[in-house]
Amino acid sequence: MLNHERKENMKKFLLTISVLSFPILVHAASLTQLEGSFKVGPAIILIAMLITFVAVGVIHRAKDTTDYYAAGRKISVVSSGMAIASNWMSAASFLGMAGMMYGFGYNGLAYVVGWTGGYVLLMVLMAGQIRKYGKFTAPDFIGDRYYSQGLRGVSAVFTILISFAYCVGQFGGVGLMFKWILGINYFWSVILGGSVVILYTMLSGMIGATKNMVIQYIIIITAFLIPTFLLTYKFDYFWLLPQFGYGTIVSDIVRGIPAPNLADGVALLNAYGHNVAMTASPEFAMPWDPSTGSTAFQWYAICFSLMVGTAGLPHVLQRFYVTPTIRDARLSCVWGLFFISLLYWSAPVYSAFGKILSSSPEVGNLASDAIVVYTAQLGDINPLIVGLLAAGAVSAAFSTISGLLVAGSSAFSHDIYVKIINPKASPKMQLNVARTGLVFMGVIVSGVALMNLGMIAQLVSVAFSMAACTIFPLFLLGIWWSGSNKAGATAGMSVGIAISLFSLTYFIVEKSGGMLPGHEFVSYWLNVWYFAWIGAPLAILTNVLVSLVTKPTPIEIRKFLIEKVHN
Amino acid sequence: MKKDNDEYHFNLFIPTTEHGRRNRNIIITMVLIWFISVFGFQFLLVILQKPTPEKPLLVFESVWDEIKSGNASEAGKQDFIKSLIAVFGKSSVKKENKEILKNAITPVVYSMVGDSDRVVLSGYITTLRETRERLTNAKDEAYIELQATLTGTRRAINEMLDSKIGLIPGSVEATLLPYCLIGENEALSAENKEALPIIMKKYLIHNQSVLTDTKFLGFPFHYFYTAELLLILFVLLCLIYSYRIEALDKKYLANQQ
Repeated sequence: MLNHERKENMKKFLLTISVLSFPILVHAASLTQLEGSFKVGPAIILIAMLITFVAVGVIHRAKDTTDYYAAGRKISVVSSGMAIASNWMSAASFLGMAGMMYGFGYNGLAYVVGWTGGYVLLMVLMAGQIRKYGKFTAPDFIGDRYYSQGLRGVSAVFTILISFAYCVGQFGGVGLMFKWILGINYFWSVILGGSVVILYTMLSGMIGATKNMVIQYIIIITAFLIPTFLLTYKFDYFWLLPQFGYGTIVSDIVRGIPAPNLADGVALLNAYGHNVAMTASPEFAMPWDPSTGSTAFQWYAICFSLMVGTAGLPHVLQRFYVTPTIRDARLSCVWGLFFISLLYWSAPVYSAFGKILSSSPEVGNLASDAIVVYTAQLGDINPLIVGLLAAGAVSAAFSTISGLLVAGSSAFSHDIYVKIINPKASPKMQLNVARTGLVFMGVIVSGVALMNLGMIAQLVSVAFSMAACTIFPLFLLGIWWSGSNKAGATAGMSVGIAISLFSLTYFIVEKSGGMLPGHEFVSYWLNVWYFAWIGAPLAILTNVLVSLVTKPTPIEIRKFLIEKVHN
Repeated sequence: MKKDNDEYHFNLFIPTTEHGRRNRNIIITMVLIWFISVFGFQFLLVILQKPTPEKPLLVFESVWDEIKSGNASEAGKQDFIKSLIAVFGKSSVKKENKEILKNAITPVVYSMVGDSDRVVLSGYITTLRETRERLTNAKDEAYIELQATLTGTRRAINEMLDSKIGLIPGSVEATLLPYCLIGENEALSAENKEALPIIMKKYLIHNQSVLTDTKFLGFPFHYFYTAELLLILFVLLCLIYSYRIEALDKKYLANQQ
């Protein structure tokens, strides 16, 4: 009864906020500018969106730990798919991908294919078996399967590092959007955005809000899709299905768009029904175009690293532990991929329109990572909808960051502090350790994001390569070959870590203005964005070879694999 | 799968039961389709690709020697400028490359106008540059005023140069021309003379083939395949796998809970 009243009050509160804010939003619509000014409408939409997420989370909050862990077991496979998609959609998907295609043309598609194709691997090789194994976190699985506290600790450390690397790109995205909404410089945007997201995560945690990923997904995808329909409608392309209708735009970019004809010095509509023009730019669509400085090898390497990394990311794997049945685990994956693909089919629409609408020299240089929002603005879409788009980007980043910060700090408090350092820690102490870890991690990530080390999608791809070299081989062999043992896993993981650290060292030294021997070679063949193309296979090979010549896996583990995981 | 008295071994590639064999076959088939559809197609693109120049590159190469030696005709100069503008207009051109292009276009343009016009033109270009710089931080009415100045200056440059360079008023090339010029009329340095043909090739040669030239639903086919079809295929592969493996598990009474 009390619960029902609370829900009713919350609904009234949400309704009041939306009614009161509407006139302000309408007024704010006329105030939006491309850059450098405070945008009232988008700011209000953003705040309203974040309050909605927290409020909905409070309404649906978990009553106890069992409810929290089993929450996913009560929802349908479609909802579970939306939760997978919401968990996946971050600033990298929302902003970064269109940015990559805008900046690197066809080579940017390696990110689209990599981040979706990885789900096939996840589906075929992991989803059902992870569910059958019955552990709740990646370090738990690794520690149990390889009967090693050491490996559990190392994988927990890497779970934190992967979350950290993943977060850096997200903070960059938050910084860009705060810069756009508030009209302040990037430094203060990252500081402010970082502070807000830490506060948001802690507040959600303190009042017990569960992430309602289904609602988050619906809001985020709606914010992303609406402008694509409006842009294609406005510029006379096939608007009923912009995800396919933008094909003509790509061909127009390749061919070039002639300027409007002049009649008495006044520009008329050109052949495309609107007043835009650009020179032929085949480099936008042609594969590994020399002008982008990218090669076919890099396309393969990025794509492969992202695919394998997807199937090794701890927070993605975690989604399959909580499905009701094995069948549901698989179907959730199918729906999840479909819902993710909705966004990935649509992202190129922004990059293509962005290419055309920013082609005028008067537009000047635009930050590729913010091209989604700039495109909507340059296309003269209603400022409120542009604001909704920007708020959607921040929400996507916030949702991912809060999940990653919680995962990272939990890995520290649960898998390292409690399981290894202080097994007798009280629940209060565990909570304090987790909160301190969360703030500490958030502050460090903000600091790294300020260095502006690369584009959002590139920064996030570091996390994928690390996951592909360290976590993926242990899951793959751990599930499909009982011969993989503790020694093999340790050796394989060591190789994966060594390659990761080697590539990261070169990257950090380069960004610090230094140059190590063989710099050219390493930055091409073992680049920090895609070193997993060689790192993952080497880690797997090492694991296999060492396992073959060392003490076999204990009988109880092999028995468990056969009887429980593979029936 | 082998289950002796005290030995339990599992290896995906060496199944010992019919269930295991069929499971292995489904997994290998799915992974192979996935791998070939992603990387096989991209590999095919590499095999079939042919470096194909855009028309402006051919034009540039036909007049470059004359421009270098200073013996170019008016028509040759016009072609040269147009070919460089075709590169300048690409949004992917790097800033340093744009500077070289400006440095190459400006002296040729100046050589096509009279002495008195050169001073006026130089003034316009300076105004255009300064206005653009001020626009970055301008707001509200000041922004609108500066935009008007920018448009006016651009039109003045176009009125002076379009007919001399053979540009159609209002065309993309004419719109870009004012932004291709710099105030200082310095001859192209030896270093830039060396760099220019490399820049032109870099931006005007593309990897094309029958797969990139064929259109499908308005897309270049290879783009459609990678950005659209592959994603559909991934969803279908997951769906088919899900139902196949479920049917297999049911048949062999595997534990579904």
